[in-house]
Parts: sequence; structure tokens; C-alpha cells
Amino acid sequence: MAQIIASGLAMGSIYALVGLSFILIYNATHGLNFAQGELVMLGGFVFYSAAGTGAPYWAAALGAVVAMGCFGFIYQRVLFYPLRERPFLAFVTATIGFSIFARNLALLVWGPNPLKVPSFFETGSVDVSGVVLTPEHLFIIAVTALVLLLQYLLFFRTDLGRRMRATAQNAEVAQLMGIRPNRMIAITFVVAAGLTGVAGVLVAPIFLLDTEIGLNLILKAFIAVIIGGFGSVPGAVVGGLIVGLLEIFVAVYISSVYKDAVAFGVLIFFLVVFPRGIFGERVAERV
Amino acid sequence: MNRRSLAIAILVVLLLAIPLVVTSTYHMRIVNLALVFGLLAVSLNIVLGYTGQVALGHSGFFGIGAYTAALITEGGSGLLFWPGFLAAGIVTGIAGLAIGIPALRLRGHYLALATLGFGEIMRHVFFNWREVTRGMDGISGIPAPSIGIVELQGEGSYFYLALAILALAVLFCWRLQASKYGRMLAAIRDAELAAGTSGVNVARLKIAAFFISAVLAGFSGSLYAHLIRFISPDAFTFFEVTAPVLSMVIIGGVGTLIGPVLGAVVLTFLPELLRVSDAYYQLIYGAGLAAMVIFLPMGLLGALHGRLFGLFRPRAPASPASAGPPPEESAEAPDMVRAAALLSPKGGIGTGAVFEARGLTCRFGGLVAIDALDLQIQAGTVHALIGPNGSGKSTFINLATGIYQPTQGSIRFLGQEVAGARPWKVAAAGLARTFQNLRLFRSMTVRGNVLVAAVADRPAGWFETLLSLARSRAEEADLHARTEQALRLLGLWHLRDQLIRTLPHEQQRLVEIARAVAMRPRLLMLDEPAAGMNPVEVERLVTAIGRLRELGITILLIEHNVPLVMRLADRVTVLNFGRKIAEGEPDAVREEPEVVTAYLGQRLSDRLRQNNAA
Repeated sequence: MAQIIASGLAMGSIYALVGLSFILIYNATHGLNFAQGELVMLGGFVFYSAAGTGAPYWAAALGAVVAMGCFGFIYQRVLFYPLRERPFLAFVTATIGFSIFARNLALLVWGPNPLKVPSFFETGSVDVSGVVLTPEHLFIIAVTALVLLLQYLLFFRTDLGRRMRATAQNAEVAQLMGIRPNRMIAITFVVAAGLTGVAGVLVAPIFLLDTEIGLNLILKAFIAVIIGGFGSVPGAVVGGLIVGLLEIFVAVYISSVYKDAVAFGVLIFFLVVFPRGIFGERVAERV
Repeated sequence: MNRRSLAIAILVVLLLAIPLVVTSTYHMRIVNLALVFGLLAVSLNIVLGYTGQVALGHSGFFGIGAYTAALITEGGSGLLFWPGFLAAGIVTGIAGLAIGIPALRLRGHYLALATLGFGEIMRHVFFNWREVTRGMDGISGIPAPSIGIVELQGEGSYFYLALAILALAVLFCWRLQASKYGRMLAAIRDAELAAGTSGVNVARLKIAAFFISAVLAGFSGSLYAHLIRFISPDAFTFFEVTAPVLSMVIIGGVGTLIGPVLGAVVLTFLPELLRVSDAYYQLIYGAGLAAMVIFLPMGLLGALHGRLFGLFRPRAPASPASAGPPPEESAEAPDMVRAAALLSPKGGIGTGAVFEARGLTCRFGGLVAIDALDLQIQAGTVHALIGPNGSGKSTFINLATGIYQPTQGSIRFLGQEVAGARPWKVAAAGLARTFQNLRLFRSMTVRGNVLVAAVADRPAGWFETLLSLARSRAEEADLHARTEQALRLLGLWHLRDQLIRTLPHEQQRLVEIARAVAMRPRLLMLDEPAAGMNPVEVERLVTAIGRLRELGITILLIEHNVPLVMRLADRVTVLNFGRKIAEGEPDAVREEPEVVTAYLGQRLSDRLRQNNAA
């Protein structure tokens, strides 16, 4: 049981990171980035290649996160910036285009066979007061908690964070206060892409890396942010953990083949019955 | 025969000649695939382009159609194509209703994610419901379609079948777009709330759009199954179906008639032209899709606009802004006799209190916006509702017109309870409104905006409208006549073909009033009609309101311009913090101490009273 919960929380942490990075971009720009999962995939592949050069593990991981952060800047410059005044469908379609591009780029660079990234840990399991747990799962949970803490400090304890939040709430007024919204949005993209880099590094050792993982991750992140409440940062995290746990409990106790279908059923249930989610924004249009 | 029909005739001949020219079976297969996906793109365009609802679940509809047709016809004769085809449409239509009805509550990205979830659920069902779908093994032995004695073996004959079905679908869309329903869908796309208060049954039309779209998607799924003759779950994923079809619609031109078909043809043929391996093609396609969205905002059709013999040119003038200044309004007053004949309130002016709110209360969380309000409006009067900002005036209109649900209390309009009714029910009962912050249908002309709301005496049904039968044509003529009168009444007739967004603020406000008048309301609620107008413009507004009175429309006027209220109103009600603090003749109300205090504050009003006494 503890094992199931730990592995559910570990997977949930990954979903939480993807959901969080998705929501950061949504809050800053009102754009839905459908390629968030592909960014995780790229992060994982970059990590794989970096680790393959013989660099120490931590350096490869850091390199992948930084590389993804830099890529986030280019991504926003090329894909978001020209579309910032257009209806949200335009950015959605452009990011779908990018995700097709990224999947096939990865296919050409890293090949069609799933890649195995060696584990961070040498032992297969740890014994915590009689309960056998996988160290990767604990590691993922710990790193995610650390990243969330850093995230919180960035947004609520620094001036940059305050300016980013101001931009997210009302870019026009923020601009009048001397903040440069475009710069804040660029930084948000960098942070969000960096988070997907972290998710890529964390997910690589427990999954086989292939070009298909992005779609599954973004779909689960969608479910997470809807459950948590669209636009809510804590909601994305809590929603991610719920999806991770839900998935593993359904797989273990109900049906492993229908675990994804159940997750999407929960998505639609929430959307129709409880669209505000746990922490979410009002859905009704203001008059 | 004009150039347009000539161009269409040439296009038809060229299309019919395709199987004679293209001899390779392989290439004919690609042509046929383009037709199948063209139909699917047309289907998506109805929801996405005409109605403005971002739906990402078409892989699910497409798959349901394909599986339905495959299960019915599997191993049987080609004649089974027809029942299979119809069943595919019916089953997906039901699925469309099952999605469309709950989706009514969702907008924008919520709807996008819900429909995406539906597509993914269907993928898992195709994959895992082995007893029916055979899972990964798929279904083979699907026969080629047959028409009676003619077996449509071969890609060439299949082509004519698919082309005919696609042509019928495009014809259907053409009728739909040109009809009143097309206008209503566009109104929902542009400004859903205003569509509702203009009498458009938003719920029914959205469900209809989902249903029609799903049926067409089901048909295209059936065609796909009979073209490939084998289906498996791999063919119905987001990246295999939804993403490409979305690209076809966007690249071709969202909301246009044949843009989606054009997009389907381009995207299906692109890999052939590029002649590279699939991964490289997908790489180029993904980057190209993003580039198209960025560089061709109007899609290919927008880029082709005005070229190719005007074949792609929309009927309505596209950019009247560039056509120089509009002609000056003729100084003559509108023909009030004709206006009265066409625009008098439907069902008569009435007598006594046409509108009565009792104990009306509306709370938002802890805030009481309207507090136990009683309000009567007498037939044929101009009743002003004034009060400081935040006193609950607009909330009152929103409650009366079905946009907000009251927490407590009743609203009786012409003896009918309308509290909590949907906006279009209230509109149909004869209560119209304008919005304080303009809500016009931005993609349409001035005339189009008013036509949406116009009400005919003998409305035609779906069947008559789509086939353009006599009754529907009579209705259109009727709607146009009433629209013309409404525009003349407000002095806007000379602007009829201008796009709404090119007009200055004052005229946009007047279009909102014209739109409301075309509904032939018995009670019209004007929410700050003079806001942002200069004195000359206010004078024109006064004239216009005078004409509405002459027609016999009862008016509730919310206004901050107190001199204007004093001139126009027969009776004034003053609100403060959601409560009625005064009511009566304009001059009497102006003197009420509580009213003066509400507007000026305690200190200033005390000083004013001292000064007056001195």
C-alpha cells in the first residue's frame, strides 16, 4: 500500500510539474501550450545525451534544465510573441504544430527505439521502517517538493516574482507601473520550460524515453489543472498528485487497461459538474 | 452567366475529369483520402468556424462513424454501405448530442479540453473494448460501396461517390451559412450573451451545430472505412485525425465555405509533393503549420482572396473601410407610418403595469447587489432608473433579461413569470435590452447585426430554411424589411453595409438600439445609452428615443446624465446600494433629500440645503 502511494505520488509529482509549467504560461499569457509534454520529452532526451557524454549525473541534469530554460526563451519569441494579439486557437494550433515538429525531430535525432536512462541510484530499493520503497520515487517526490519551494520563493519573496504576478494579473496596468510585460512573459516561459526540463530529467529513469511520452504527459496535466481549478498554481500541484494517485489506484484495483479512460472520465465529470475545480477561477462570464 | 458561376462550372468539369486523368491507383487513393478528410474538415468547421466553439474531439466522432459502418458491413455486400452510412451518421449524431448538451456549460479552453478528453476516451474504447472493436486486430473485410447493380470497385468510381457526398455537404453548409441560422451561429461566435438577449436560442443552436458536425464526421468516418477497407484504433488518435483536421481548417480558412476542403487537399497532397520520408515530412508539416498560423492569419483562402476569378471572394463587401467615407445620411425623417407598420410592439402596447418586480434580491457571495426591490413599469412610459455607480442598476437589467438568476423574488412581465428564465425566452416574450459596454456582432455588417434580432411574423423551420422554400424566402424578405425600418428609424440606413467595427462609438450604440427595436419589443431596457456621447450625439439619441416612444415601446432608461433623464422620463426610480430610495415624478425625485445625499454625500448635501435655505 505504501509502495502504491509512493509510486502514485511520484508520478503525480511529474504531472504536477507539467501542470504547473502549463498554468504558469496560461496565467501570464492566457495561451494554452499544447506542446508542454513535448518540452518534457526534449528535456528527457537532452538529459540522456548529456549523461551519455560521461558527464557526472548532476551536471547532465543541470545541463538539461538550463538548456530547456534557454529553449523556453526561443520558444516564446518564435511561437508566442507573434500570436499574442490573436484568438487563443491560433496559439493552440501553433503549439500543436510545434509538438508534431518536436516528436519527429526527436525521432530523427534519437531514433524510434525507446531509450533507457540509467537510474540515479545503485540499490533497487530502500527499506523505510519495514516498508520497501523505490529510491527513484522518493527522489522524484523530494526534488519536486524542493522545486515547488523554490518556485514559491521566486514568486512570493522576490521583486521579480511580484512583477511577474502583476503582469499575469493585468499586463496593461503592470506596464503603466513601469514593468515590461513582454520581458516578464519571456521570463515566465523560461521558468516554465526549465520546470519541464526538471520533469524530463526526473521521468527519464522511471520510464523508457520515447517520442510518444509527451502526449500522455500533457493530457494528464490537463486533467490535473482542471481538477485543481484552471489558473490556480496550488491547484495544478494538488491536481497532479490526485491524478497520479487516481491512476495507480484504478490500475491496481479496477482495470489497468481503462486507467486512462477513467482519468478522462474524471476530467469530463469535473468540467461539467464542477468546472471551478478545487481552487479555480469563476467560469461564468462577467457582464 | 456571370464570372462566378462560370468559374464554378469550370471547376465542376475539372473535378469530374480527375479519375480520367489520374491513372495511377495510388494517386487516386490520395485524391479520395483528401475528399474524406475534406468532409471531416467541413464538419469541424461548422463547430469551430461558424459557431466559434473550439472542439478537439473529432477523432472520436470520426472513429465512431468508421466503427459503426465497419461493424454493419463487415464481410457483407457493398449494398450494405447505405444502411451503414446512415447508421454511422445517426450513431455519431447521438454521440454529438451526448457531448453537445453537457458542453453547453463550457466555453473556450474548457470546451477544448473536454472535447479532447472525449476523443481520448473513444481511443481507449476502440483499443480496449475487444469484444466489439477487436482491439488492435482491427476490423477487415469491409466491402466496397455499391449502388444497386453497380459495384463501385476501384478508386475511380469511389471518387464520384465521395465527391457527390462532399458536394452535398458543402451545399448544405452554403445554405446554412446564408440562412438565418448561419447568422445566429455567427452571432453566438461573436457575442454569445448579446445573441441570447437578441432572441437567439443559444442552447438549441449550439446543440444543433454539434449534432450536424457530428453527423457529418460520422459520414466521413463511414467513407473512410469503405475506402481503406480495414480499420484499427491507430487510425483514430489525436495526432492522426484531430491535429491534421484542425490544421486543414485553420490553413484553409476558419469559417469559410470551402477553405477547409482546400486545406484538406493541400495537406493530403503535400507529402507527395515533398517526396521525403514520413519523419521529415512530419517535421516540415509541424513547422509549416506553426508558420502558417503565424504568417497567414486568414488562412489560404484569405491569401487567395480576390484572385482566381473571384471564386473565393465572399459575397459581402469585405473591407468597406477602404471604400472611402460613407454617404451622408439623408436629412429627411423616417417614414413613421411605415415604421409603425413593421416595428410596432408584437402583441400590442398593453395597458397598466407591463413589468413588475417584487421582493427582487440578488446576492453575489456576501454582497447584496439588489435588496428586496419592488418596481413597476407602466405601459407606454419612459421609466428612468438612476443611482450612483454600484447601486445595482445594471444588475437589475441583467436579472430582468435572464443573464443573472435572482436569489429571491419574482419578476412578472406581461403577467408571465420571467425570473430565472433563459435570455432568449425573455427576449421572445418581448423584453429587449442594450448593453452598457457594447456587445455587437463584430464580424458582421450593421445590417447583419440587426437582422439577427429581427422577428418575422411567420418564421420558417429548419427544413424550409435550408431548402430555401417559399416560406423561408418570404421570411427573409420580411426580416429585411423590418431591419431596413429599424435602421432608418435610428438614422443608420446609409451605414447598412459597413462592418460594425469600423463605426465610431456613437453609431455602435445606435446599432445596439436598432438591433433591440428590430425584435419588436414591448419593453426596451437601455443601459446608459448616452455614455461617452457628446451633446450633439445626445440630441440625436433623444430624437431616436422619441421615435421609439411614438411606436409605443415602453422604455426603461438607465442613465447618469441627469438632465437627459429629467427631459425624457415620465417616472424616475432611484437606487442606492441595491435599495429603492425614491420614486416618483422627475422633479419631485430631484428634491428628495435622500437622493441628493446619495449623489453628493452627506456633507455636500447638507451644505446645499443650507445654501438653499439662505
